[in-house]
Amino acid sequence: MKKIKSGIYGLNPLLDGGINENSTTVVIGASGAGKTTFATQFVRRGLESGQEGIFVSLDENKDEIIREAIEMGWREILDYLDNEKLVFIDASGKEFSRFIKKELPSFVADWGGSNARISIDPLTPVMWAVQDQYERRDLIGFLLKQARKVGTVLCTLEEHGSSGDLSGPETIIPMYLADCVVHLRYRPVDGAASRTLKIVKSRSSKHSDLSHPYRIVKGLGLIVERGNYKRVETKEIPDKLREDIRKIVGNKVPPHVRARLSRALKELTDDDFEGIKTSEIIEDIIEEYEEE
Amino acid sequence: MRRSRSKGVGKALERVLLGGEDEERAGLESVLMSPVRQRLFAFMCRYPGSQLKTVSAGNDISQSTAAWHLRQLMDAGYISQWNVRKKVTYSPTGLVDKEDAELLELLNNEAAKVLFLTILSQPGLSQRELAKILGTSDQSIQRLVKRMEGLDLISRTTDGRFVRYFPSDGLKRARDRNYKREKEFRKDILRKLETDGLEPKIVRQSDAELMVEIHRSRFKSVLELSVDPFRTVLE
Repeated sequence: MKKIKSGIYGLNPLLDGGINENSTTVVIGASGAGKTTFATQFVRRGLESGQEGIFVSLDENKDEIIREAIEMGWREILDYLDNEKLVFIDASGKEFSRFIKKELPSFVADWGGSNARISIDPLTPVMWAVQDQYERRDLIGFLLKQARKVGTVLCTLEEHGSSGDLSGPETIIPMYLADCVVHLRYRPVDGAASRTLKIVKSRSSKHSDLSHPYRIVKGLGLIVERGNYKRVETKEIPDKLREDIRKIVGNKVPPHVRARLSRALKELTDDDFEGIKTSEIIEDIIEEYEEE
Repeated sequence: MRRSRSKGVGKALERVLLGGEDEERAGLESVLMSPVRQRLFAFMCRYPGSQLKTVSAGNDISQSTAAWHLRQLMDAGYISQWNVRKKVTYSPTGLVDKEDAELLELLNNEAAKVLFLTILSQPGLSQRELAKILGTSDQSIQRLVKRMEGLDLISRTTDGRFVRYFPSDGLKRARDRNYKREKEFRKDILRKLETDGLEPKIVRQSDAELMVEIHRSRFKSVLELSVDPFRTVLE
């Protein structure tokens, strides 16, 4: 899976190098968390590497977003807009859901493989445009699946209610369907606000499980602190397991299974076995196959 | 995936999503409603026969950005492209004759412009004196005066063993010749803006200038066009 840089300072190391190309990411956060800034930085990074950018704003506040981007120190946004490398689209939730249902397939047939970066900010009005839960899931699932074919997609999602509760139906469906979910947790405290970022999931990629404080700095945007997160590169446990499979498991397991396990272990690090006893894994493998 | 990895995916999405019917959006998409293109078109009227690098430097934008906007203006019929001595030059459609493209291209060259202005202000200098004043080599002066003589911008007089250069009336004749064309250009451009749905209104008009207000929906802009290129090219 090819990684592309997220455009958010400090985030790439937490995602094993960046966002997976042609994947879908959902960024959830309350008002003021920095979702739009995140979405803007993501698109900008793509433009800087020659990708096309599309910003679909469902809040109908295009001018406001452009003004804020310029205030954040991104003056070149106007050149990109003039060149049409970046296209800003104001649409309503209804317009966008109609587009997904009626026109998205033929659009993807024409423009699949464009390798663009697409930000949809926020996706929430699309959810509201459909009442039925089943239809909602269908619509969002179809959007994410198709949009991946055109490029790498980032959707923001409004977090309503008490901060940290992501179990409401409006958040759970896109979270479930997206490849990567980033939660921007924002609590306005007297005087100074508290902001932390947590990667809720990231398919086909190792990622940090910690809560990382972040700040929004003028001219730089979101800056995420790495904190205590360190990629574990050591392979002592998987190496020992491969050795044990060869010695202990031996003929108790069919040769093709041994080969597959050995291949899989080569890709893993000690990180993947945190808290698991190797002796138990060996026992489990033997138990699974010994009676055949 | 017919158009795999081709450019323009964003615009295509915008067209599909919004149906291209919204009048306000159409206004923004109209070629001359872009502030950058308005600036470039006004620049072309002032300095017709410019090459891409001159347009880029004169407007403080990158060459690729300039090229892209010039292409848009060309597709919409506002400017034309001519090859002059194997160089691509741009001019507003209808403002100057192709016959004069070489003269304009030469005078848009900074070194040639300075040389011509020097001969205008101090007629009768020799090649060596010109080279000394301009701080350049005899050879480059020789190359430029030769082209200028060919276009009848200057003429030479032999004075003993010196060759001296004097202004000639090639530029004035080109300007006179273009007079009728300029008048037509004023009418044509207003007609074109009208056809393109930009509701032009003349704000001010003088011998050398045409100031037009253009509208599209609730968007409004003012184009300040200089229409005396054989004078402005020397500015």
